[in-house]
Amino acid sequence: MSQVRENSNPPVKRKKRGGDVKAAILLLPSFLIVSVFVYVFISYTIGVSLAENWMPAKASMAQGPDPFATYKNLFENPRFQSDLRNSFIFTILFLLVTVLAGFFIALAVHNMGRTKGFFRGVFLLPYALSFIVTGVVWRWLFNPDSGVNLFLKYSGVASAYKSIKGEELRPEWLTSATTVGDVSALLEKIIPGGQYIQVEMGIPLALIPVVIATAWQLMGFAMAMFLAGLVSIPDELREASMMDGATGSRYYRSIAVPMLAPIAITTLVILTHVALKIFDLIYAMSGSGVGFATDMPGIFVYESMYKALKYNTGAAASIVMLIIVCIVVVPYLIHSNRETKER
Amino acid sequence: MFKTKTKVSVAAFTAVALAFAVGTAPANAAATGEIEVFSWWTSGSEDAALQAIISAAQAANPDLKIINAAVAGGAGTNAKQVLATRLAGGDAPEIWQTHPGGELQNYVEQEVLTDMTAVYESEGWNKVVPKELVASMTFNKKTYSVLSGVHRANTMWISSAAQKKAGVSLSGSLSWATFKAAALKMKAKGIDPICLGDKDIWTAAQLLEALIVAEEGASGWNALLDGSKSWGSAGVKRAVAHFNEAMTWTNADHKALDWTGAVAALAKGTCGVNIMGDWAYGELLVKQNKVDGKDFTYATFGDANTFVTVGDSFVIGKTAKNQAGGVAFAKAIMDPKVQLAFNKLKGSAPVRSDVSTKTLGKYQQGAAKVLANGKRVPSLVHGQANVAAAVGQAYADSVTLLQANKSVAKFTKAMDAAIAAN
Repeated sequence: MSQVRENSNPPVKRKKRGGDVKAAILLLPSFLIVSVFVYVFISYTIGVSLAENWMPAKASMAQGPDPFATYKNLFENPRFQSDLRNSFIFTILFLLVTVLAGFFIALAVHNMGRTKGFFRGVFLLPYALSFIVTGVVWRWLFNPDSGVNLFLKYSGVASAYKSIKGEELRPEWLTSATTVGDVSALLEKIIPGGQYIQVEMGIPLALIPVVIATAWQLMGFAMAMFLAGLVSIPDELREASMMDGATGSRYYRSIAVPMLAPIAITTLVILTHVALKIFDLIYAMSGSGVGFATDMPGIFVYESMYKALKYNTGAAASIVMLIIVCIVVVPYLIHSNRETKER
Repeated sequence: MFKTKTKVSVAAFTAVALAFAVGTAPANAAATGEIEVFSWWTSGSEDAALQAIISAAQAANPDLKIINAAVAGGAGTNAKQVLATRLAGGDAPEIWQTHPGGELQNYVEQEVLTDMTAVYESEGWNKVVPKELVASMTFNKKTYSVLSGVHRANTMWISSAAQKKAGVSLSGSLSWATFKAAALKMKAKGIDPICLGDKDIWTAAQLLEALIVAEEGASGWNALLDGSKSWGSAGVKRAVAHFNEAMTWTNADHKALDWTGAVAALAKGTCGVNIMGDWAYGELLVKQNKVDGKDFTYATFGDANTFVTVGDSFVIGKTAKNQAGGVAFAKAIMDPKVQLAFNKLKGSAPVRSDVSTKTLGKYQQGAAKVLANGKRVPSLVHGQANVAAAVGQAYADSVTLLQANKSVAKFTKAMDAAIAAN
C-alpha cells in the first residue's frame, strides 16, 4: 500500500475519491466473504460457548443461569490447565530453538560457495513434509526401546554415562511423566485464583522431543526468512563496514543482526501462531501424553467436540485459543501498521 | 498365511452366496430410490464386513441404490465431525453408524433419529437380541438402533510362548492373586507381563475397565454407571491399585505404541498378556499369522462369564428422504445370514442369539456363547453405557491423570463428579 502511494503522483481530489469507490467495489466481495466465514462464525462460536446446551441439529443459543459457567469449568479442568501450561512452555522452547537454529543455519548457508543451493534445499525440505509424517517418524525415533536410545547405546554414550554416573542412561523421552521446575506454589501466591491450579506448573520433559521434532520441521522456514534478509543487506553496507574495520563476528553483531531484526520479529510472530495452534504433529507423535504432558488446546477442542460431544466446552476452549493468538498477533499488526503509516 | 486367505475368501463367497439367497426370498415390497450409508469403516476387514451387509441389502432390494459414504480415521472421530456438520445443515444420511448408549442418546436428544420400535416388534428382534443390549438402544421406551455385531472388550490375550518360558498357565476366570503370581514369574524370566500400546489412552482405560468389572462384578459396574454406587467403593479402589501395579509391568515403550503394536509384541512373545477388545483376534490371525489355541490363548480378569459389550450400531436419520430404504437396510443388518457373514469378517459375535456360530473361529464361538448366556455389561471406554459421552471422556481423562499421579483418591473423586454431572 505504502509503495503505491509513494510512487503515484499526488492525485486530484475528485479522482482520488473515484479510486476509493473503485477500490471499495473491488474489495467488497472478499470483504463480505471474509466477514461471513471469519467474523460471523467467530461470533457464532462465542454464542455457542455461552449457550447452555448447543447441539448440531438442535442449535439452541439459549443461555443458562450463568452464561460463563462453561468458561469457569474450563479453567478449573486439570486437563485444560495442563494444556495452557504446555502451550506456553512449548511456544517458548520451540521459538528459541527454531529461530536460533534457523539463524545460524542461514549464516552458514549464506556464506557457502557453490553448494549454497544444495544446502538451502536440504534444510528447507522438512518444511515441505506434512505434520503427520513428521509426527509418526519422530514417534518412532523417540521410542525408548528403539530409535535414539539405540544410538546412545551403540555409540558408547550410554556406557560412558554409566561409568561416570553409575546409573543407566535411558531417557524416557515421550513416555516421561516428569515435570521439572514446578512453580505452582509461587503462582498460587501471585495470581488471583491461583489456588485452583491443579497441575504442576513446570516443564514436562515429554515436551522436549516434541519441541525437537517441530523445530526440525520449521527451522528450514526460519532459515529461508533469514536468508532473504541476509541477501537484502546491500553489499555497499558490508564493504563500508569492512572499511571501518568491522570484520567477521563484529560485522554480524553490529550490522547484520540489527538489520535482520524486523525479519526476526516477523518470523517470531508467524512461528508463535503455528506453535499456539499446533495439533496434527503432536496428535500423531505423542497424543495427550502421560498425564497430559503433551496435550495441547487444539487436541482438547477436537476431543471435547467430537469425542465428548460437549460442543459448548469445545467452543469455549477455541475462543480462549483465539484470544491467546490475538494477544500475540494484534500488537504486531498495530505496530507494523503504524510503521507503514509513518513511512 | 494360506489358511487365513482361504478363510477370508470362503467368507467373501458366503457373503455373495447369501446375498443371492436373500435376494430370491419373497421380499415384502423391496425398497427403491437411493440411500446413503455413513460409517467409519474403511480399512481391510471392517470394509469387507460392511460390504457383506451392503451386498445383501442390495440383493434384497435390487432397485435400491446404496451409496457407501464412509469417512476414514480417528476411530470414528473424523466421521462424527462430518456427521455433526451435516446434521447442523439438515442433510442427514439415511443410515449412520454410532455407538449405542451415550452417543446414541445424544442423537435422540437432538431428535434426529427414526423410532424403530415398531420394526423391532414386527420382526421379533426383541426376542433374539439380549435385553441389556436392547436397553442400551432404548430411550423413553423407544428403540432407535440395530446392532450388526458385538465385540468383547474384556478379553485377556495370552502369549503361549511367554507362558511356556515362565512356566505358567492362565485360563478361564482369573483372580488378581493368580494373575500376579504368574506375572511375577514372567518378570523373573525377563518378560514384561503386560503388553500395552497406550499412545491413545483408551487401551489403558480399557485395562482399568476390565479390572474394575472384575472387582465389582456386573451388578456393581452397572451401579457405578447409574450413580447408585460411589466410585470410592472398595472394589474400585482395589482395581485402581491393581492398575497402578500393572502399569509397572508393561513394556517400556508402551506410550509410543498403538494397540496394534501391543498385539504385535504379544505375538512375538516379548510380553505376556494383552487386555484388548476382540478386534485383536483378526489382528492375531491375519496380520500376525498366529494360530488360535496354539500360539495364543485367552482368559478373563474376574468372572469369565461377564461380557463387556462394544456394539456396532446403525441408526436411521429421521429427516433423511428415503425412510423405507433405511428400514430395508436395517432389516438386512439384522438378517441372521448377514449377521453370520458380517461377524465372520469383523471378528465380533452376532447380536442375534438364534444364529448358529459353528462356522465361526474357536474364540468367536466361545464369545458368542457368553454373549448369549452370560452377564452383559456395557463398555464405558467405548461409549456403550447409558451415560453422556462426556462421562466417557472424563473417564479417559482421569486415567490419563492417574498414569501420572497414581492417586486412587483423585481418580475416584473425579469419576464421582463426572457421574453426578451426567
